[in-house]
Amino acid sequence: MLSKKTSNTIAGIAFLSPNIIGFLCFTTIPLVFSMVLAFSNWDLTLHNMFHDEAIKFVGLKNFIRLFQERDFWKFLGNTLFLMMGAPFAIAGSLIAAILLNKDLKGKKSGVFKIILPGAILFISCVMLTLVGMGAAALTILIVGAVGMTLISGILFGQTVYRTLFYLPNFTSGVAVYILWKKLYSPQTGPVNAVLDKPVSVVGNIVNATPSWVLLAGEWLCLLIGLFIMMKVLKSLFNHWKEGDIGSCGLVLALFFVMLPAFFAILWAPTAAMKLAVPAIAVVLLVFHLATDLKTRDFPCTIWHGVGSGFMIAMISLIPMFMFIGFAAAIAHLADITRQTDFSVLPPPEWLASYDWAKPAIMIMGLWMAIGSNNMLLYLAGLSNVPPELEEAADIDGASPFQKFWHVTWPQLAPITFFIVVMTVIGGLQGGFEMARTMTQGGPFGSTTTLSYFIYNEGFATGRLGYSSAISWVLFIMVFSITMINWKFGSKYVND
Amino acid sequence: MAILAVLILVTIGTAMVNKQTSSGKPVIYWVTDNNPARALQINTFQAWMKKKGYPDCELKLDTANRDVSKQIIQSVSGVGGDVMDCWSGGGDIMYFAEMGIMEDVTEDAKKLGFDPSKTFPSLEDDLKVGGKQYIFPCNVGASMYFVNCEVFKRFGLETPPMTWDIAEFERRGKEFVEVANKGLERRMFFMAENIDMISTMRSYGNDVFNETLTRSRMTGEGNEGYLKALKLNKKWIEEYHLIPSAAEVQSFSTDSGYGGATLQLFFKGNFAMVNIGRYALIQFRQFGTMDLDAVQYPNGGYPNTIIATRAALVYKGGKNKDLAKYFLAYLASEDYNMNIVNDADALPPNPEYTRTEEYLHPKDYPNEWKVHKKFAQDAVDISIVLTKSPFVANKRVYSYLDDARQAVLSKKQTPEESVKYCETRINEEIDRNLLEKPKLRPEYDKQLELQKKIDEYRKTGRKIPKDWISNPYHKKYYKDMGWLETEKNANIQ
Repeated sequence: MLSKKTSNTIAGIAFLSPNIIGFLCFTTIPLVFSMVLAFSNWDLTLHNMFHDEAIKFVGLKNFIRLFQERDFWKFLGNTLFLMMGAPFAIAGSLIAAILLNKDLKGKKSGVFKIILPGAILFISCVMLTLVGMGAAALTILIVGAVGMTLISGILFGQTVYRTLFYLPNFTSGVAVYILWKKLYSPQTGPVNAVLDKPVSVVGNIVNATPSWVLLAGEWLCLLIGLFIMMKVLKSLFNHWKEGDIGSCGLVLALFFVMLPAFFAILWAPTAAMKLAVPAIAVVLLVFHLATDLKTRDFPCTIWHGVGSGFMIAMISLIPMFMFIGFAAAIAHLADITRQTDFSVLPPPEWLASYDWAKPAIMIMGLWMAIGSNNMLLYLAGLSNVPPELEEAADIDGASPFQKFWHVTWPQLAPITFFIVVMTVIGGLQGGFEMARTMTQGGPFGSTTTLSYFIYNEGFATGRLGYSSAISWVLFIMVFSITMINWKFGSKYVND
Repeated sequence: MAILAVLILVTIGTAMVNKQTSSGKPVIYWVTDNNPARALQINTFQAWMKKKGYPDCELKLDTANRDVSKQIIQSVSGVGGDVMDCWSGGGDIMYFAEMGIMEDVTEDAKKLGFDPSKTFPSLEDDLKVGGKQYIFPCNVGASMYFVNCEVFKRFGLETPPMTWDIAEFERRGKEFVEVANKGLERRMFFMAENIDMISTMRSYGNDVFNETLTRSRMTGEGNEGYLKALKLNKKWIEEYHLIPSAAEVQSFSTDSGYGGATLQLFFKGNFAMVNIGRYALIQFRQFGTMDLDAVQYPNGGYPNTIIATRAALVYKGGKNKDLAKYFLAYLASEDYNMNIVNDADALPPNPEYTRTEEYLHPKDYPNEWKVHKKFAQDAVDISIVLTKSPFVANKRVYSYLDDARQAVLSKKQTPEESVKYCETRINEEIDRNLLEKPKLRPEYDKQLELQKKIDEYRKTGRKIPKDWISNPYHKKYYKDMGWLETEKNANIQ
C-alpha cells in the first residue's frame, strides 16, 4: 500500500507528464540536438537515410564562416534596424493601455466623444473629396470603421475599445500582412492615397525653395542634433561627477552618444557636413573630457549606473538621429524633385522600394505591437496601481503628467522590464513571417532578417549544421542582451 | 479513469470506421497541388490501370504537403508521398537527386514506356541527373508572350510578329505606351508585364554558367548577355515604361489566383502581353472570349525560350514504389495526355498529342486557335531548360540573379557592379560546395580540364565535340551555330 504522500506525488507527476513529455520531445531534445548540429557538417544532401556518409564534427568552422559572411552582417543589420521600432512600440502600447484604462462611457465628456468622431469623419470626407472618391474605396472603408469604432465606444464603453485594440493580436499574422500589403500599394493603396496630396505639396514647396535656404535648413538640423549632443554630454558628465554613473557607464554612454556623429559621415548631404559634424562632436567630447574629468564630487564604483547611462544615451539617440535624418531628408527630397519626371513628388513606394521596405515593415510592426499582449500587461499593471498613491499626489497638487511620471510609471517598472526583455527577444527572433509573406526578403535582401536567413540556409541549400550555428549565434545574442537587461535593468524594478 | 476509458473507446471506434471506408487495395499517395483537375486525373488513372491489366490499387491525393520544405523534411525522414510533384525550373530536381530521395526509374521507364523519348527532347536534361532518369512530366511549360490582339486593335496598332528583335520590341512598345496612356493621369497600359531575363541573356549567346557548368561566366568580353538584359530591363521600366515597375505591379495586384492579378490585367488590356505558359488558358477561358495570339520573346540575335515541367517522381522510401512507377507510365499515356490537352493545363507531356485536332483547334475556343500550334512548335524548336550545375545549390544561383536585377532597380548597384557581384557570389558558392563536398572534386577537376580544352578550341575557331559540353544551353546554341563537331568529323579525327 502506497502512502498518501507517495500516491499524491505519483498523481502529480502523472498530471504533469503530458506537458513534461511534450516539452522534452519538442523543445529540450531538439534544442540540445541543434546545439550539437551547430558544430557539425550536417547537410541534407549528404546526410540522410538514403546516404550512409557519416556526419563529421567541424568544431567552430560553421561559426567562423558565419562571421566572415557578408550576408550575415547585412541581415543582422536589417534585424537591428527593425528593432529600432521597439521603444516606440512599447510607448504606444503604454499609451493605448492608459487610454483604455479610462472609462469612456462616462456622461460628463459625452459631448466631446460625439464631437471627436464627427470631426474625424468630416475631415476624412473632405480628404476623400480632394483625393477622389473613386480611387479610395478602401479608405472609405477604413474611415467608416474608425467612425463606427468611435460611436461604439461611446455607446458601449471601454470594452469595445479594448477588444478592438487587441484585435491585431488574435488575427492571423498572414492575413494582417496581406492586408498591409494592400494598404501599402504604391499607387492604389489608401496610405498613399492619403499621403499623395501632402507629399506633393511638400514637393512643390521644396521645388520652390531656393537652394541656399535648403542648405541652411540642412545645416540647422545638423546643428540642432549637435546641440542635443552637447546637452547630453554635459548631463552625462554631471551624473558622473555626482556619482550617479560610474566610469564604465560613462564610457558606454559616451560611445552611444557619439554614434550619430559617425553616422553623419555616411548620411550627411554634403562633404563639408560630413567633415564638420564629426569634427564638432569630437571637439565637444574633448572639451568635456578636459574640463569635467578633473574633479569628482561623489565617487562611486565603476559599474554603478551602467543602466542609467545606457538609458540616457538611448533616449538621446532618438532626437539626434531624427535631426540627422531630417537633414538627409531635405537633401534627398530636393534630389528627387529635381530628378523626377512627374510634375509632383510621388509618395513612397513602400514595400517595392529598397529604402522604404524596412520602415514600412516597422510601421506595420508598430501597429501590431500597440494592441498586443504588452498593452494587456500594461492594463493589468495600471489596474494594480494603488489608488491611494494617486490620491496623495492629487492632494499634493501634482499635474496629470507629474502624477504619471512620479506615481504610475515607477509602479509599472516591473512590467516595463518584462516587456522590454520580451520585446528584445521577439525582435531578434522575428521578421520571418513578414518577410516571407510581404517581400520574400527583398528588394535586394533589404527585409531579410536573421530568422529568414536561417530558413533559407536550411532549406535552399540543405546546410542544417550551418543553419543551426546561425540559430545559436542568434540565441547567444538574445541571451547576452537579456543578461544585460537583468543585470542593469532589474535594479530599477527592485528600486 | 472514466475519461481515459472513453478516449480509448473513441480511438478504437475511429480506427474501425476508417477501416471500413478503406478499400483494402494498396494505396499510392500523390503529393500534388490542390487543383480541381486532379479528381478527373485520378479517375482516369484507375480506369487506365484496369484497361492495361495492371495491379489494382487506389490513388489518393495529398495536397497539404506540396511545399518543397515539407517534401524535403518528410522525404529525408522516410515519410514522403509515394509520388510527388516537383518543379524542374528552380533546381528542385537536382537538389532532390543530391539528397537521394528519388527512385531511379531509368529501366522501368524503358519497360513501361515513359523514357525521355516520350516527351519533348529539350526536357531530357531535366529528366535525368547523372545519366539516370528520375522523373516524368505531368505537364510541360514553354513560355511565350500571350498577346491580347483586341488591345492592339483598340489603339489602332498592329499585333507584334511571331519573331522580333530587341529594337523592334522597343519601337513597338514605345508606340504602344504612348498611344495607350495618352491623356491619363498615371500610366495604366504597358506593353508587357515583364521580360524574361534568362531568355534575353541567352538571346545574346550567353548563359549563367560556362559549357562544363564549373564556373559562372557572366562578365568579360563576349559574356555581356546578362548585363545587357539588366540594362534593357532598367531602361524599359524606368525610361520607356514599356513594362511596369515593382511599385506599379503592386498597385495593380490583387494577388488572386496564380500569377497574381497579371492575367486579369491582361484580360482588361493593362498589359498588352503577358509572359506565361499555355496553362494560363485555364483562367483565360473563365474570363470570357479574348482574341489571343502568342509571340516569342524579343531576342538579341538568338531566339529562345525556357522549357520546364511540373513532373512526378517516385519516392525512394515509398512502400509502393512499383505501383508508383505505373503512375509515371500513366503520365505518358493517351488517356492522361488528352486530359491535359482538353484542360489546356500547359502542354501535354507527350508532344505527339500536340498534333491532334483537339489540341490545335479546340471546338469551343476558336479565339485560341492561333496560339496552340505556336506553343507546341516553340517547345520543340527553340526551348532550352534552365541551366543547373551539379556543383552548386541552384536555388541560390537563381536568387543571386534576381538579387542582381533588384539591386539595379533599387539603384544600389550599377548593372556592371551587379553582374560582377552575382558572378562572384555564384563562384564563391561553387568553391564552398567543393570544400564541403569533396566527393564532387574529381568530377569537377575533370570538367575543368574539358573547359580548358573548350576555351582553347573556341579561341582557335575549332569545332567542339558534343560530349564535352554539359550545359544544355550551350549544347543547343553551339549546335544551332554550327560550332559542334559532327559525328562524321569526330570519326575522321
